Amino acid sequence: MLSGILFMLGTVGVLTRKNALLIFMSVELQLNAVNLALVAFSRLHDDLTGQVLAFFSMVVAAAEVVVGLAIIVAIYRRRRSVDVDDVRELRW
Amino acid sequence: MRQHLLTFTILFPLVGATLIALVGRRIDDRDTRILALLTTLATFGVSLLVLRDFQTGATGYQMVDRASWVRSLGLQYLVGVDGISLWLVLLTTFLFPISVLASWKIGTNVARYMVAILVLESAVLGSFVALDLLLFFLFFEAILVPMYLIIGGWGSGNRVYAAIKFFLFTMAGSAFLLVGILFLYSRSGQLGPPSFELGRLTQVAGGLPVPTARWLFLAFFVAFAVKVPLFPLHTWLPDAHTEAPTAGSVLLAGVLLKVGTYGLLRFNLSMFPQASIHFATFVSVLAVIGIIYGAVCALIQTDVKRLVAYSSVSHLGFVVLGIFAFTQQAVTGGVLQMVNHGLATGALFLLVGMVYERTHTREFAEMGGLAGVMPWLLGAFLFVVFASAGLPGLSSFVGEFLVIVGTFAVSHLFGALSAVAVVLGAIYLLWSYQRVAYGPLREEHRYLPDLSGREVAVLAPVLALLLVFGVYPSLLTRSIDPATCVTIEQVRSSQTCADVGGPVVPAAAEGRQP
Amino acid sequence: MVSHPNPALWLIPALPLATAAINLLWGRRLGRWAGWLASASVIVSFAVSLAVVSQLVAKPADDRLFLQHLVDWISVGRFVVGVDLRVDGVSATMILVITGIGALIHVYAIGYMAGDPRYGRFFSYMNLFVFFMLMLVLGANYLVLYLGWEGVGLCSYLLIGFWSEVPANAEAAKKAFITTRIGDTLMLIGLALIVFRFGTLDFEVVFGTAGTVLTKDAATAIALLLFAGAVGKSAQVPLHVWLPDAMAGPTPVSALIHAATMVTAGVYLVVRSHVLFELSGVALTVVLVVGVVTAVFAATCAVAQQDIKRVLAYSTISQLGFMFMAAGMRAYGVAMFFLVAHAFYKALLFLGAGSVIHGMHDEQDLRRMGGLRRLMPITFATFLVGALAQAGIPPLAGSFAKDAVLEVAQHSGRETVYVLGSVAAFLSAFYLGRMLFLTFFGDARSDRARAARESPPLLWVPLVLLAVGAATAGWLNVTPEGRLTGFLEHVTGFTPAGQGVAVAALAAVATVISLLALALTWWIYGSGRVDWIGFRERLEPLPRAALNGWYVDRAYDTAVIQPAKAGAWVTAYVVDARIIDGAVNAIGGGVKALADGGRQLQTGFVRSYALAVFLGAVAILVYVGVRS
Repeated sequence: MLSGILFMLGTVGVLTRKNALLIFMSVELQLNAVNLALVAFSRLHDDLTGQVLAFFSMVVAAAEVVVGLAIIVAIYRRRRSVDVDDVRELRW
Repeated sequence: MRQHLLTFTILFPLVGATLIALVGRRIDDRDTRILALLTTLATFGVSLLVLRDFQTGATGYQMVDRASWVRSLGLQYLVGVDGISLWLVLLTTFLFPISVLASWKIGTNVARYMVAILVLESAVLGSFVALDLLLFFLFFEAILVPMYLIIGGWGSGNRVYAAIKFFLFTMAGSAFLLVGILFLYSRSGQLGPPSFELGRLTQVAGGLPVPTARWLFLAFFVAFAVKVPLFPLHTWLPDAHTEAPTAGSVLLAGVLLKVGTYGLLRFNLSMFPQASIHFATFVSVLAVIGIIYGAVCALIQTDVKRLVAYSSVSHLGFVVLGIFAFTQQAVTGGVLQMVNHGLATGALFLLVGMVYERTHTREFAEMGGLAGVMPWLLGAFLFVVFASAGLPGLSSFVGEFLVIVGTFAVSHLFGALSAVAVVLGAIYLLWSYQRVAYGPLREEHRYLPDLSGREVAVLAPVLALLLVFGVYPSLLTRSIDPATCVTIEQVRSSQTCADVGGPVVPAAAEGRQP
Repeated sequence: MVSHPNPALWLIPALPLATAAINLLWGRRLGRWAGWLASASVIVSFAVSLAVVSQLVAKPADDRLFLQHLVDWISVGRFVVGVDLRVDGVSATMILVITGIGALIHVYAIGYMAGDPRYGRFFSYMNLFVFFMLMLVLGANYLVLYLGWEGVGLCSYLLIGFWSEVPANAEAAKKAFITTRIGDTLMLIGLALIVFRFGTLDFEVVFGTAGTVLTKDAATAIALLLFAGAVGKSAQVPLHVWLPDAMAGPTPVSALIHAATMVTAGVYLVVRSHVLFELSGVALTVVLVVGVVTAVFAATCAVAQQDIKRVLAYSTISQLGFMFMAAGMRAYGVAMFFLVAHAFYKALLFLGAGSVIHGMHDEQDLRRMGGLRRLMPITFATFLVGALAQAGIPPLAGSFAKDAVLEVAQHSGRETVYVLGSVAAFLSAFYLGRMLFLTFFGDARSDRARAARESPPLLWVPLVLLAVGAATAGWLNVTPEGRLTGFLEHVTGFTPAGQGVAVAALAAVATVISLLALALTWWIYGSGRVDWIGFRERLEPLPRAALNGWYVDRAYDTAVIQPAKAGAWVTAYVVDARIIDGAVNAIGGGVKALADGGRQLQTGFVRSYALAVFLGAVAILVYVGVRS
């Protein structure tokens, strides 16, 4: 249940924030919420699979954060802004 | 060695193309052209070997060459030739050197042009001899790209529109073909390891419930009908023909269109016999409409190339009509017409191209009186005009006559209607000749040169064949006959090769008598 | 009939074909020799024909048939057609006419066409024509006949339009080819029908088994379709419109093709196929009616023509009508006899007209001639023979032929045909007389007429020979049973003899009619006592209508050609360009519109993408939740 709330919080953050960094943090929140749920259920069902999966998830999250932050920094250097709405080159 | 002759025929142009692609930029344009010409002549030579080794009178495929590609999926390379494809292969290898020779005056990007032509040749040849449906589809699609490039890159005014239209239209049709092929493939596993082989897929098709077979027939039909072109899917043709460069038009009319009719004969008829009979009336109606409609549209054209394009629609309607009449005479006549039309209409495009090179116009209104200036050129034109109009003694007559007679045996109405095209053909052909050759001469055309040596070399073989095949069609029919007989027997499984007339009226296909 | 193989038959058509090729390729180098070469080959062909025919005649009457199989032309399945040649009574007659008269015309043309820049090409085409015509009549099956049939059409096109610098000539050539092709196509359908019923096109098989194989309706259909071809080729109503215009070609062409041979091909076809026609009573009646109508109609037009060649053109149409009349009354032998006689005197008249035109330096208008009999005596004499022959003055050929036709009509109880035929005969003599008197009598009416001189021997020698033929050809049929008709009988079948007024009486009546017409024309045109120009003006608008062929051409143009052109325009530019192609382009447009709509999704906004992902995830969850 806690993970559910955390996840919802994260989702709202992703959807409503303009600041790229804040969006990122919300994504992290989502991921951690999911991890929490995995571990909890693993504990409940006495199945290690959930914990293993949580590990995977953490690794992927780490990698993703590295890349994502790098991109944000690069964009910032170019445009001096971390406002997501300003970056709309990839449109029709 | 004998077994691989067909593969060599397909490979030679590719080898030539690769060569040119590699060294094209370093050697002179003239050398590029000569290299291309040599390649096509070599290919023609190999095909003559195929002809020599071909056993006339034998049914079934000869010189079958096989190589496995992905065994587990049943993908393989399988080619073979029979009476029907033999002459189409020869027509192709014959017309390509002529087209290369006719393209001598192309000045821009010669190397790329020649590469496109050579790749096209391989693709077409592959289509005619492939006995594996996936391989056939591969070659069939491969035809589109070089042709698109040729039209779009070296054509005239509206070429980009024409090229795109050609490409998309044909590809849309063949999408259906792919679906059909894949469907059959998916069922092929029931009879052994999955395969795209023609024989196997025919068996599969034979075991399908009737409605499914009919849908598949239609899927295959759409793809080929666009290519033929059959009314009403023909509208890409006038633009493509008109805007293509001379050699492009010659090859398009002479060879490419035949892949469509060949497909109908080779695949639709033998794989879906009941469906073929079921749809025969429908297809015949479209064919007859095409014959007359094409001729009528040709009548009123002001652009000579467009006129010839519409005449192609008309002539190929004949072929389709013949194929779907399912009598020996009609089908053989249809195959014969495939070859004849390739020669006659190819020659027309060659001649029109020569006139265009001199006058820089395709409009009748801007021509006239040229017979006095270039007697040999216009003499050849007249010869071809009469060949195309079906004068007895020249090749088209025999094919037309056989189709009319053969169709007549199953439907008086269709036979009679197709004969109408004979009159219309005479009208538009003679009228176009008149507008080009007779009448007032424009001052700027007074000193135009007559045929050059190269142009004679381009025309003479074609005209000679038009005469030879007209006087002695047995050269062709004795190999075509057994093959068409086999196909007809597949359709009319209840009887041996239906023949024409005689006191016993042949059994008509279901519901055909008007 | 028993048939005998004869290995020499192929020589007859082969010779002209060979010289045609030679002249086509090397004509320019041969110069004057081209003409002699061409004529020589036809003469030799004539000699061979004579030899063959004499061999034929030497055989007993029911044994007269030579066959030669050359090569299999088409062989598909069980349908085989060979290039087979056949000489029997009918084709024997034809080959002699073709090569004999053809040879004379070739010689004449040497002189007539001298100086023409395309001299060699002309003779090549003439030889080619002779080749095809011979194939037409020598064919032992309908396909070889059709080969010849179309081939002569081709040569006719080439020769009519020979002087192609003049646009009208090309137009006339095209008109000729297309009009005849309409008939040819119907004939082709007839051939297909024959193949359908018989499985073959061979004459022996078809005519031998027709009685058992064909129903009356089938026979009618086939016969009518074949006759349609004949109507086109022989310029009968309603497909006659090409022949008067075909006079644009050089006069030897008109003589050979449009008088003596090609146009008679239709008669040959009907006579050859008479078995089929007889199985269907309707077909014969149609032939008869067409023949009668044409004979009278064309004669009325001929009366009003001002161009000397056009008179002869309409005259030919009318005379062909007579031949079909005979055929329609089952008097095939008479039809053939008429054909032979007509070949002589019509060729003679045409060549004579050519001589006149030549002498008058290319003047063809009758109104500007006059008094030529003193200046061109030989031409006049021969022309006179020809005119009298056609007019039917005994003992010249035409009289026997014409009288025979009328006699058959009267004896078989067809009084209307007899009367109408006599009317046509009267008109025939009338226009001939008019032509004769306007050209050769009275005072010269133009400078060219005054300056006219007789033509060179190359021109008048053939004229004389033809005149002899025209005079004597009648004797071919003079014995009571008719020598020629008897000769042909075994092929043509026996002509039913009827009862009626005595032959001599009929002949007398016919002669009187002709003499009356001639006398009338003498009075109007020859005696100088009547102002025939004023006389004609007072009859207007009739003469103008007749001059224009009673406006049939204009009717065709309005009723057929213009609507056809309009229809074609609509088909090409509305149906094809707008409707069908429009559909294609609409599909293209539709796809583009879809794509245009689709790409609106690419906003570039990250958050909208995120929203989309979110919504998508929700949707999937809902879906999964609902399913389970």
